[in-house]
Amino acid sequence: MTVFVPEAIRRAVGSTDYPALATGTGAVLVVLLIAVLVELQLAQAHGTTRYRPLRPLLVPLLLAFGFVVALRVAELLPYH
Amino acid sequence: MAALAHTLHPARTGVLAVPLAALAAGELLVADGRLLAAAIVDAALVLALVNAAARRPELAALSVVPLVRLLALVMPLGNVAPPYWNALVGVPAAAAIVGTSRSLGLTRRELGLRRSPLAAQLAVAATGVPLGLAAYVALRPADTPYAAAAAAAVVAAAVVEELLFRGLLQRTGGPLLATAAYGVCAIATGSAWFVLVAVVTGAWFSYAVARRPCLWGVIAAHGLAAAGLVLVWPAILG
Repeated sequence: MTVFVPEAIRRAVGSTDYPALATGTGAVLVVLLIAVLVELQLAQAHGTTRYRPLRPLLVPLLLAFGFVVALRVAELLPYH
Repeated sequence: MAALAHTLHPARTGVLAVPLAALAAGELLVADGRLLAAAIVDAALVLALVNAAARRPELAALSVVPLVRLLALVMPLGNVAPPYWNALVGVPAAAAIVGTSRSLGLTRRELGLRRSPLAAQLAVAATGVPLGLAAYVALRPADTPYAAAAAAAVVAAAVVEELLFRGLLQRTGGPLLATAAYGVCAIATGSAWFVLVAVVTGAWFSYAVARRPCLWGVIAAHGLAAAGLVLVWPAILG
């Protein structure tokens, strides 16, 4: 019933190619985040409400970005 | 009937067929294991839909669907135990649903989070048991360790999915769009039978919500079906 994380993604997480895949999809996330931020700045500069549906994207994209960065930083920290 | 005629208007159907086809292409790429290509398709679709949403609010609601798939592809699932994967994707997905609902001016009541006769909602909820069995027969998922944690996460994800498909999407785009988008998302499983079960389930849930605009019954049914799929039916029939 729940289709958030289908089997193909579950399989990929366990594969040897996963680090490269995670880097690639992370880059897609960053590009999308930058595109949304630029569009919002343009909308603000031109005083248009046309881009209003972009604003709700910011919170989930920033949350995902925060999760990715936090877990990567945690990976780099040495165990004590 | 008027709602169905409104949904099936050729202009509306044509506009919605293109993003649904693009969404289906992304899901086929996921099923085929081409996850980076799927992430690129979903990101492009999100951006296209929100930019086209100024004139069509249903496109803003539809943009949340590829966004949720993109989140599943970009979240660092490798760093977290599998039972929590749905929760990890569900948190930003819930934020997207809440944000989009607010930007469209939808209240909790308009999304379907309202009171309704208990007997009718319990009757809808009970249908989750056979639907879970049908989903299990179609998908035959592997037995999961940490079953209790997995079931809790899956039931929580069911709440988010119902808010997205039967709440936000059905409210803005109608029952046909909600059912089509739900069925398309099942393509990623790579099982034609599961897609059929998802379409039947989505159509039934959409009908139930169209008849009585309250989400509690379908949320309970979805939660029961999901818990049956990952926990109950594998233990009984696996």
